[in-house]
Amino acid sequence: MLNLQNIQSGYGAVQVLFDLSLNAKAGEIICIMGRNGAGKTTTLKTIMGLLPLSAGKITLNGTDLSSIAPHKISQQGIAYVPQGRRLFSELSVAQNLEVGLLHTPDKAQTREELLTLFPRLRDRLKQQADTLSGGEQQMLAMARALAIKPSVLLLDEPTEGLQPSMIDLIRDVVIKMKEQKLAVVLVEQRVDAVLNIADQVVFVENGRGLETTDTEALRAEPEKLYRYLGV
Amino acid sequence: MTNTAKSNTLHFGLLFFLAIAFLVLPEYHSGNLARIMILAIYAMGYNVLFGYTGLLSLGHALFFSAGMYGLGLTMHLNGWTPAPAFVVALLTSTIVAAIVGFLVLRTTGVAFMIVTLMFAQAGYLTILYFGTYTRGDEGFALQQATRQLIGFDLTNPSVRYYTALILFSVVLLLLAYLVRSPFGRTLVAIRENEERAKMLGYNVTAIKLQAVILSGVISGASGAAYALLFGYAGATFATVQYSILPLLWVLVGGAGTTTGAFFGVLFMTYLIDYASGQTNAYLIVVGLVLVAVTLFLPHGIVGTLRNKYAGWLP
Repeated sequence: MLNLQNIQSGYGAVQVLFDLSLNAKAGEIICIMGRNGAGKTTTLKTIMGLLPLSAGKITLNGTDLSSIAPHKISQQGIAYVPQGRRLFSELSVAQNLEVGLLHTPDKAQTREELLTLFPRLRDRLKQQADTLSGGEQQMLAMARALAIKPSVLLLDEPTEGLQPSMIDLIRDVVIKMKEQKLAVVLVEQRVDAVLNIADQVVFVENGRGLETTDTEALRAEPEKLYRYLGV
Repeated sequence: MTNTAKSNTLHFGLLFFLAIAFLVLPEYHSGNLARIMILAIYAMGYNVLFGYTGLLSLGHALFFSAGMYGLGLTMHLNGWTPAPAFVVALLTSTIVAAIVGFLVLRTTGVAFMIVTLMFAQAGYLTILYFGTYTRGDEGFALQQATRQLIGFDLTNPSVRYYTALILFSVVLLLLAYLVRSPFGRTLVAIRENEERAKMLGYNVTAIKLQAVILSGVISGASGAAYALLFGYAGATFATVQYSILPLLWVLVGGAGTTTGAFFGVLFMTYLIDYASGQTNAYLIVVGLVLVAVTLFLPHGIVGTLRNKYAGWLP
């Protein structure tokens, strides 16, 4: 499905990614792990076309995404929930969803599906987005991203700063997405969360993919966590 | 009452108030109000780009004067009647806005402000350069005999007032509809977070170009209406001052609000009118009042009312 081959990218003259590859398949959760500054967020931004790809190739179901505009990458079926949520803060919950749904053919049905997935949002429809709690904002950010009916979901630290009950809710939604055959690419610092839900883990350091391992193997060799993450 | 119903009540209430204002106000004030409504159209056009889309232009005088000269020159030089001349004005401002928008949207932030300012200055200098036709700084008057529309004399105070009101109503209701439409929500989404809008599949550049064109056409309509109703077109209206004024009106009234533009123009007009009657140093007074407004009403008159007391205000 989503395939990254030896990609290189960065911010202007500053190169951050030097050689990273991964392959996310339908119904699979793949987690990118690494220390701060390793290039995890840069990878997601490069997939979305927000940062220029200086070398390598990104394809989705064989379609080359390397040189198309960011809004067209989204239209290909990749949804991105950035770190810090980035809602349209002056719009209400309903209006945020409305903006997300504008390109979706079956708007009413999709809206209903999203409100079923995130029932808490149904009670907050008229509330301005920036008055929601952190967990509710994360739900809205995810609901808005899922409104485009993606085949790939990119999540950048979705549980950052959330209370445990909210983390459980977000985790359940991610698992549901996996069951619905979405490919989920997750950037996450919380090792316990990753070991619970991910199928594969890509360890990144200094912009390079060091090793890709499945979670089963990682449980059997926990010293890798110390080696790559220092935990 | 739903927010939509409250919003409709506000808009139609304001229009009703303006409709009866002519009947009760002295001629001086009703004349002022006609001018205020036309300039409020200009401010509403500016608000589409600044208040809703988040693009701060310093070159809107170009669009205002494109409409003003589009109508003025076709009437003055070609002897056209007001209706087709008004259509020419709308086409002129559309074309100018499309060309300018196509070029300036390659920039953002401060560069966007500077480039729009440069385009407006180029427009101003063009008007001066072709002084043989435009009469440059001096400008030209549109003769009373030519300012007739379907049998109505537009120089008559009541006809002028109600023509201004009709145009103002059309633009106000269009704007009220627009901000509740998917297109309006998209503009706000771009203003709030352009990158995020892109990630949801929006072609942000194309939508911003549509906003520039819409804003330019409304501003051009205002310029054309000003020339038609007040009988004068001059290069003064293409100066940088007329690019700054709509920004001030919108900031004072409330950026991103449908009625803020009107109240901004109303407030500024009467502030200058009153202060200039009291002292020759009226600009100092105006400056001090604007500082106070900025301090105590940071979101403008309507914007602050919305934030503090009435969240439903559109």
